[in-house]
Amino acid sequence: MVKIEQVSADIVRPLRHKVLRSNLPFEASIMLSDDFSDSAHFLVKKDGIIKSVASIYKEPFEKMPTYKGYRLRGMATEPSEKGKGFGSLVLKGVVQYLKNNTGAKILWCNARVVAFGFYEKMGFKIMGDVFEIPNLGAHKTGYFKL
Amino acid sequence: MKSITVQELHKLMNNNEQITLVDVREKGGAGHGFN
Repeated sequence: MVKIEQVSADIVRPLRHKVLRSNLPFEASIMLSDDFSDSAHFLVKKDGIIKSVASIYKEPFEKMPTYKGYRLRGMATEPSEKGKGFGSLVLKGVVQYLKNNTGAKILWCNARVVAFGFYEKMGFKIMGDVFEIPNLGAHKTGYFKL
Repeated sequence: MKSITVQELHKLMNNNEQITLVDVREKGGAGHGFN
């Protein structure tokens, strides 16, 4: 049995910054809604070391506004540990949490181009055109029906 | 946490029953499992 931990936002920020915001000040890894009561943060460790993190925020998916939606953000895996399944595990924890605790029907994200393969493998549908997020690169929107 | 191999991790990716969620936040939920 692998333990997926729900933690406070400050615990996931260092890896989030290292992987997703390293070209920006650390403060750029702090999301406005990190500490909202309906936000949640998760990680998986191996040998006591954080390997992958992910966060979710209650935010409608504008393409499917009638579904209760949560947004996946800050999905990051320690670079030297990519491809070993840690990201998949933490995402499975996110999905289990949403199913058990929120009644959410859609999990969506803005996925980096380099991460499309991961999200598709996990069952996400990638849709729409590529768009650029300043300082963060090319993205597409993806969603997963819960 | 139990250490697992890469092969075990890949096996786990296809089995939701083999993960457990644990709330370890210090405020309001230390050590409280929610599933």
